Amino acid sequence: MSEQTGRLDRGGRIDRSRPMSFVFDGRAYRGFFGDTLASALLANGVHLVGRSFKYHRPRGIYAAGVEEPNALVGLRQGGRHEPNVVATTVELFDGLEASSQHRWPSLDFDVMSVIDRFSRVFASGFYYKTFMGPFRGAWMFYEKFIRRAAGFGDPPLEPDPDRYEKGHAFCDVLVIGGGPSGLAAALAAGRSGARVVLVEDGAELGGALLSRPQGGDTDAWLASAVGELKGLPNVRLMTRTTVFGAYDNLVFGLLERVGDHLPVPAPDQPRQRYWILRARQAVLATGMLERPIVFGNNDLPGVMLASAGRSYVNRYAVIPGRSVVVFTNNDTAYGAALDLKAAGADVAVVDVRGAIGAELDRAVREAGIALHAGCAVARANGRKRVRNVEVCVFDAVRGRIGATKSRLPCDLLLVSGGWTPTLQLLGQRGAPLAYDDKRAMLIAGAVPAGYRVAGSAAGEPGVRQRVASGMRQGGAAAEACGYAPSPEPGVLPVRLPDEPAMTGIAPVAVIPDPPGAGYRKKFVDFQHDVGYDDIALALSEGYESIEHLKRYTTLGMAPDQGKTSSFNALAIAAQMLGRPIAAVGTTTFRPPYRPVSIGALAGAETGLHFKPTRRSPMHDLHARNGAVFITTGLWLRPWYYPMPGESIREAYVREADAVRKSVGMVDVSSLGKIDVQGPDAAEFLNRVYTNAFDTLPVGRARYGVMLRPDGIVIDDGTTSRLAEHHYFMTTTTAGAGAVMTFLEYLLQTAWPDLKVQVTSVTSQWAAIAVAGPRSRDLIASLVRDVDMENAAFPFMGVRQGHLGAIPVRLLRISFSGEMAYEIYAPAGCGETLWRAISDAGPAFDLVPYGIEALGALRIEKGHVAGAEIDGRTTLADMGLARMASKKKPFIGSALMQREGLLDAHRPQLVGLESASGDMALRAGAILCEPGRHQGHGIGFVSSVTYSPALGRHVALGFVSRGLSREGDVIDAVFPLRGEVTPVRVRSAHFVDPEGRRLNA
Amino acid sequence: MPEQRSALAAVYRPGRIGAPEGPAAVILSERLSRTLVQVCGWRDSFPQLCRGLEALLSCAIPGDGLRAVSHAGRSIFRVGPERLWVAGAADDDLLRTFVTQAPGEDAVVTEIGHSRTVVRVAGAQARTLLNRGLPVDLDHSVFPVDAFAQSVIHHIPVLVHRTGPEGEAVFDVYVTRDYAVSFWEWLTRVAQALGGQIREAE
Repeated sequence: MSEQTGRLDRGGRIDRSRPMSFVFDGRAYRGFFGDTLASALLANGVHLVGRSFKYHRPRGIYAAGVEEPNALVGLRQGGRHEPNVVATTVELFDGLEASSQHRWPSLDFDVMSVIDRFSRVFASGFYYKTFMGPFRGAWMFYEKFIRRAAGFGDPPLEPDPDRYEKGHAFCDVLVIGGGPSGLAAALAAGRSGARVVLVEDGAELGGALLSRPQGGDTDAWLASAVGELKGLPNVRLMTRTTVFGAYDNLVFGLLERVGDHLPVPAPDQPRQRYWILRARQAVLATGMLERPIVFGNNDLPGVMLASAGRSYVNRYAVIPGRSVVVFTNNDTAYGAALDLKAAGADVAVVDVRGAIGAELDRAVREAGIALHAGCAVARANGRKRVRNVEVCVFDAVRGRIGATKSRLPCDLLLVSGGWTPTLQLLGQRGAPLAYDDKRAMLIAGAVPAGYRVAGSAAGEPGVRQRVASGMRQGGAAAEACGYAPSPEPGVLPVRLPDEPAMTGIAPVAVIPDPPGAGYRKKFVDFQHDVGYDDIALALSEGYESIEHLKRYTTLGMAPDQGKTSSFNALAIAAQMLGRPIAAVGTTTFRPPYRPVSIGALAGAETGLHFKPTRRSPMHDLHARNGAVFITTGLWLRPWYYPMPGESIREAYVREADAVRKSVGMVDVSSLGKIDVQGPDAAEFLNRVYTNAFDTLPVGRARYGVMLRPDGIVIDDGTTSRLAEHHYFMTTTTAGAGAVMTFLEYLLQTAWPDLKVQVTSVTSQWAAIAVAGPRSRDLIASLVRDVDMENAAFPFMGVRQGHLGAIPVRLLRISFSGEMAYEIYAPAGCGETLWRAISDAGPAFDLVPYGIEALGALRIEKGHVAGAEIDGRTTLADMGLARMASKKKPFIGSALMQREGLLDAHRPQLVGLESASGDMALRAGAILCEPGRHQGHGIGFVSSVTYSPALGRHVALGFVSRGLSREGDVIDAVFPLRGEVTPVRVRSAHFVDPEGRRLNA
Repeated sequence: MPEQRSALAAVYRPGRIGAPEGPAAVILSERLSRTLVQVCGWRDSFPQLCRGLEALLSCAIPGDGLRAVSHAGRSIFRVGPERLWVAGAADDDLLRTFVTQAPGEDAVVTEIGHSRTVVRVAGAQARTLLNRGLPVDLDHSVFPVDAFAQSVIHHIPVLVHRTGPEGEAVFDVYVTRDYAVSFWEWLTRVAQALGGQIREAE
C-alpha cells in the first residue's frame, strides 16, 4: 500500500476519519472520503495516468474538474465496467478499481508510443491522404487496422446489472450551477416564492469557493446560503447532476448520478437517472473554465492548470508538486501561487506581462515568490513528468520571444492562459458569443428569451460581483414568472469578504518557438492530440472556416468537447489568419455537455420493456394452458400450445389439422376494433373503403379494403353493421393504430362536416375465433338466444346474443377458409368466455390453436396479411381489383389509376410450391426467371408454410403478370444462403377454392 | 354479466415494495370495476346535449380538457372536441342505462369500461413516482384537484386524474387494458426506489 506522499497534514475538505482504499492499474492506494480519484492519485504521487489518443504520449492529470482532457480511466469490472471516465470527477469510494487505457503492455511502457517519434508525419489528414491508395477501396482495407489502434477505452462485454431511471421535472426557475452566483440566484428566486431547481454537477455546493482554503472567509457565507436554501420548501437542490443539453422551449436534459459514488447502487436505487426538465426561466450560473497557454511539450505530466493546483491544495489537501513554476498571462494564477507557497512548496511565477499590480506584487514579494515578469515558458522538459522549464524573454504585445534566458527546475508547472465562461448550453440554443477584448474571453452575445447568465459565466471578476449578479438574475427570473421580488434582495446574515480585484490579462494563447530552438510539439487539444502545427496545416490547405478547421483536425471533437482547447484554437487560427477573434467565429455547440451513458438514455426501456407489451384479456389463461408466446408488434400472443414432447411444427400441424377436421379456437383479441357511429357513418365508410358499405344491411358484415391516398393498400378487415348508424370495424393487428389515426385525420381535416364518431375499442372487446366444420355445433351448444342455422345465420352474418351470461357479438366470418365465427365479449369477460367454450369443447374435439397454425391456415386459403399488405401493393396486385367500386369515389380511387400502378407487368399475388420434390421455401426469396438471377428479379416470396392440409410446403408471393403464368416454373433465389429453389406458379387458393367449407 | 376480471389479476400482490420498513412513500391500489362511458355529440348540438347531461347528472359539464368535474361519485372528463368520458362506480345504474338509452337525441354512446384499468397512486411521493414517466407538471399549483391530463407513461397511453381530498396527492391513472400489466410492472419497479405499499384493490 503506497504512502500518501503528496498529502498535506492539515486542511482540505476531505474527511480523514474515513480512509478509503482503491486500486489503480492493479496497485493498491489509499485516499480519504471527499477525494476524487484524481486527487487521491496525486496524493499518492501518481502523475502518469494515461496515454494520448494518437501519439501515445504520457499524460498526467491536467485539471480538477469536468474539463480534464487527459485522465480518462476505465472504472469497475465486469458488467459495471465503464470506459472513459474522467478521473477528476470520480468520487473516491472504498474498493474502487480503476485502470488506465489505451496502452500496451503497460502504462509505463507503451509499445505504441513509438508513434510519437513520427508525430510530424502523422499530422491531421494523414490517414485520409495516405490510406486512399494504391488501389480502389484501399481505405476499407486499412480502416479496420487503424480503428483497432485508435479509440478510447474498451466497452463492457457483459450485461449491465444496474438499473437506470428516467424522470420529468418542472420548475419556474432553473439555476444551473451551484457556485456563488448560482446559490445567490436560487436564493433570490426562492425567496420570492418561485419553484426553483438548482442543479450542481458536483457532490457539494459551492463551486469555486470549495477551492479556496478551508475555513476561509467565504466558507461562512457558503454555509449560510446553503443552509437557507435547504430550508426553502420551494427550492430543490440537485447535486451530482449535470445539465447536459438545452432544447427548445426551455426543456433541459439532465443526468443525475445517483449511485456512481458508491461501489454498487443502494438497494432498489438506480445507478443514474435521466431527467427531462421543463423550466419557465433559466439562469446559467455555469462558471468559467481556465484555459492553458500553448507552448512546447505543454502536455507533459506535471503540467496542470493553475486553478487545478489551487483546488488540489485547498480542497483535497494534496500538494501536486514541491517545486512549482506558475506560468500565467493574468492575475488569477497568483491565488494558486500564494496558496501553494503557503502549503510549503517552492514557487516561482513566470508572467508574460511586463508588470503586475502593486498590491499583487507586494503579496508575491511578501510570500517569497520569485517573479519572472515579461517572460514566458517556451518549453517543458522531462520524460514522464516535468523536470524543468525553459524560460525566455517575451514581448506579450508583439508576441515576440527571445532566446532562452534560464531553466527553472520544477516538478509541477501550473498554467493559466485566462478564462472561458462556460456557455455551451447557451451555444446549444444557437445564441451567438461575443469576444470581449478587455477580458480576453467569449461572453454571451444575444441571450435567448427565458435565459439569463450570472456570475463568472457572465465574466464577473470577483466573488462579490458574482453573488450580486446571481441575486440580480435570480430575482429577475422569478419576477418574469410572475413572482414579486424578495423584500430583501441580496441580504445574507454573513457578509462576503473584501478582496482585491484580479482582472488584468495579456491575451496570449501560444508561445512561439525561441529562435534556433528546433521543433517542439505544442498541443492545443490534448484529448485528440491536435497540435499547433495541425491548425497551421489545416489553414494552409484552405480550411479557414472554423467549422472546417474543426473537422479537418478533429479539434474539439473528443469526449471533452474541447473544453480547454476551443478558445485557444480560435485565438491561434485568428492569429494565423491575421483576423480578429470576433471575425473567426465559434464552432457549433451541441448536446451533450458531458458524455451521457447509454444506460441512462435507455432507462427502464430494456428487454420486454424496450416497448411496452400488450396482453390479451386471456393471456393468463393461455400461460396456464402452456402456450408458447411470441411477440407480434407490441402484442404477446400464443404461438402454439405444445403437447408434452411436441416441437413447434408438430404442434401447429396438429392444431391446423384439427381446424380442418373438427374445430379449433384462437385468441384474436389483438385485432384492431373501431366503433363507428353517427348518421353519416355509411357515407364515411363508403369514402374510406374501396367497396360500398351503405348497401350493407343491418346484421351483416362485409370485407373491406382501404387505400392510402396514393392508391396503395393500407389495411383490410371486416366491418359489421350493428344498427342503422352504428358499425363495428375490425382491422389487422398491425394496422390498428395507423387506421385509427387515418380515420380521425380524415374526419378532423378532410370531412369535418360528416357526423361520425370513431372510437378505438380494441381494448374493450376480447375476441375468439372458433373455426372448423364443427364450429356451428359448438357455438350452438352455448348460445341459446341466436338461431345458428345456416339459413338464419349465413356466412357474413352478424348477431348479438349471450354465451351463458356473457353478452356477445357473433360474426360469421372466416380467416381460415373453414366455417367460422368470431365471438366478441367485453374484455373483462374474456377469460370466462374462453373457459366456457373450452369446457364445452371436448365433445366437439376442440383444439386451441396459436398464430403459427393461424398463419398456415390463411396461407392455405390464400388470404393476404401483413406480409402481403406491405405498403407497396395495390388492390390489383393482390387480386382484389374487383373490390374497387366504380359507382363511388373513395380514398385512393384517383391515384390508383396511375400508369405505374396499372402496369400489367407488376408482380401479382400467386401461390407457389416447390417444383422438385417437397422443399421448404423462404419468405423474402427473390423470384427470377430460370437461370437469370440478376437485378430485382420478377417478384418475391411473401409468406411460407408447411401446409398440413396438403402435406407439403407452399407459399404466397408476387410475380410479374401473376396468374397468367400459372404452371410456369421459376426460381426462388435466396442469395444470403446461396439457395435456388425451382417453384411452380399456381393459384393462391390452395384449399377449398370454391368456398364450400365456409358457406357450409 | 359475470364479474369483470382484472387485467392485473396475475401480477397484483398487496404488500410492501422497496424498503421493507418505514412509512410508505407511495400507496398503489387498483380501482376495480369502474363504469366508463363515452358520450359524444356534434358541434351544432353539443351544447344542448351538455345541458341535458347536466340535468341528468346534477352537475356541470366541464368546459375544457384540463379540469374534470367530480360529483356524486362520478367524474366527467372532456377528452376531446364534443367528446366526454363519464366514470362512475360499477353499480352506477344511471351510467349503465346510457349504453342502452342514449342521454339525448344526438348523443353517441360507447361503453369503454372494460378497456381501461384504473390504478390509484397516492402518498407523499405519488407525484415523484408518476413523474418518473409522466411528462406533466403535477404540482398542486398547476394540477389541482380534478385536473387531468391525457398523456403517456413509458409509451403507454394514460389519463391521469388528480382526485381529492384537497392537500393530498391522490391520482387515478386510467391505463389502456392491454398495457395494464406492462404499466404495473413499470410502476412497481420504479416505486421500489421510493418505498411503498400495494393495498388491496378497492
